[in-house]
Formats: sequence, C-alpha cells, structure tokens
Amino acid sequence: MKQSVKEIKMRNNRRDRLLCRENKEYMTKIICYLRDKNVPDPQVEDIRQDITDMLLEAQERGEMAEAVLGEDYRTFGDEILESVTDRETRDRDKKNFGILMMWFPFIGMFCSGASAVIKIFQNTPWSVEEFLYTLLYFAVWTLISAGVYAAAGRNFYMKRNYFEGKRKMLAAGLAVFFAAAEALFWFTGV
Amino acid sequence: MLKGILEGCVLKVIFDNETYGYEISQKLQEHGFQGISEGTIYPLLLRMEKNGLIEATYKASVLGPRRKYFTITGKGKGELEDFLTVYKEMERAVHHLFAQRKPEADSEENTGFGEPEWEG
Repeated sequence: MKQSVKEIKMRNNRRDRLLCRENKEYMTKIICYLRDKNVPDPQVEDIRQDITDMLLEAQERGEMAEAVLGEDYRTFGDEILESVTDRETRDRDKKNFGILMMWFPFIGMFCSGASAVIKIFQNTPWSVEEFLYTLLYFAVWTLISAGVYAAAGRNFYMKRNYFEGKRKMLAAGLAVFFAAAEALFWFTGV
Repeated sequence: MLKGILEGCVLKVIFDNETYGYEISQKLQEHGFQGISEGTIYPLLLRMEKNGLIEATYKASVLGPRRKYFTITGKGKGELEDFLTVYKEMERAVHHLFAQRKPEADSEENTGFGEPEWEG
C-alpha cells in the first residue's frame, strides 16, 4: 500500500535520528538544496526516504555520506534535479488543478452574491425560495469541487496553505461579498 | 553519451537479477567500472523508475535498514535491447575510427596513431 506523505515524513524524522552527525548534516544540505530548487514536498520526502536508507546502510559498512554520494552535495543534488524534472512538472500540474478546484466554491460565492445583488436591484421580495435560488450557484460549484475531490482527490494536491497572501485576501473578499449581498437582500427584500 | 552507457549497464544488472542500489554499484565495480558509487547511480535509478523502465519495491534486510529493490519492466527490456543495438553500432564505429591507419602513420610503431598535432 502506498504511504501518505505525512507517514513518510514521520518515518523519515524517526530514521533521521539514527544517522551520525556528519551524515545528517550532508542529508540536511541535500534536502535544503532540493527544497530551495522548488522540488515539491512529497517528492522531497520520497528522495529523503531513499537517501536515509542508503546512508544508514552505508553507516553500517563504516562509510560516510561523502564517500557514497560524492563530496559536493550540490553535484549530487543537480543530478537528482535533472532526473526528476518531468515529475516536477507533473506535480506542478497537480497542484494547479488542486488550486483550481479549491477556487470553485469561491466562484460559487461570487455568482450567488451577484445573483442576490441583481434581486435587490429588481426589488424582488425576499422569500425562502428566492434565497435558496441565490444560494444555488454556491451549492453547485461547491458540489462539483467536492465531487471531483472525492472521486480523484488522490490525483491532485489541495492544501490550505495554497490560500496565502493575495489569494487569501481575494478569497476573504469573495466570502465577505457573498455574505453582505445575501444579508442586504434579506434586509431590503423582507 | 557516457551517462547513457552507464544507464544501459545498470539496466543490464537489474535485468540479470532483482537487486538494490549498493549491489548494483558493487557489480559494476566488479566488471571494471571504477568509482561508481550508489550516489552515481541513484539519479539514474530515479530517472529509470520515473520513465517506467524499472519498478521498485521495499524489502526488509536481515541486518540493517530495509532496501529498495529494483526489477526491470517490459518497457525496460525493450530499452535494453535498443541500447545494445545502438552500443554495438557505436562500438563498431569507434573501433573503425581507431583502427584506421594513415599512410604516414604506417611507419609508427605500436599504435599507428602517430603523434598528436598540437605536440611539438
């Protein structure tokens, strides 16, 4: 069974402690180097797992990281980067698709909010039916997002930290617009 | 080119037997590939695994940490055949080039290659 990234990370952290100081330092340099080059986290953990196992075995033979992986960690890191470039692109696509899916509910919020604003301008009286009608967009977009995630969530990445910085502000703005428009519709329509 | 040759040789070692990184480097050294460490072949293994030429499974080792064992796939076998064909052609070409004697070089002893032009 395929391990999750979290499981691999926990295992790696546990096994890291078994490395001697020199090997651990070498390992840290490679991992930082790969992260610095924007290799996706799941992939870094896979590589970390391989290298840890490799170094633990080398330790048992009395060999140090520099003898096994080369004196310059950057050369080794560059070789790895060259090998994983395509996978990196695939991972970026998975991440982008995940971000798109995470925006769907917010698109729904915008459409529902806009629908409520139109109702206000049309002086439509507020009723449960009209209220539910405005919420329909939000519900549909959210259901699509949730459905895709349930069906194929393992094939792409959805992380909370994708909503950082400007994206977070835009998401919060859409949520406020949605809530304000619905509230205004209720106040003006009742 | 050299990387391609090394990749073909790694593939051959995996084709012979299911094996792991350190064992591959040892076998290559036994065959005369000097200075081939696990670190040299790890990126190649990553690439071959990514391209579907080999498959990896983890197995517990008796003495130490678990090992990542590699087996060749159908695609890998095809790639190995292609490598061998290309390598044989290249070997013939290199052999032909070095075996070629220039008329003035006929008088040279041993190699027949003569002195390089840049040497005085």
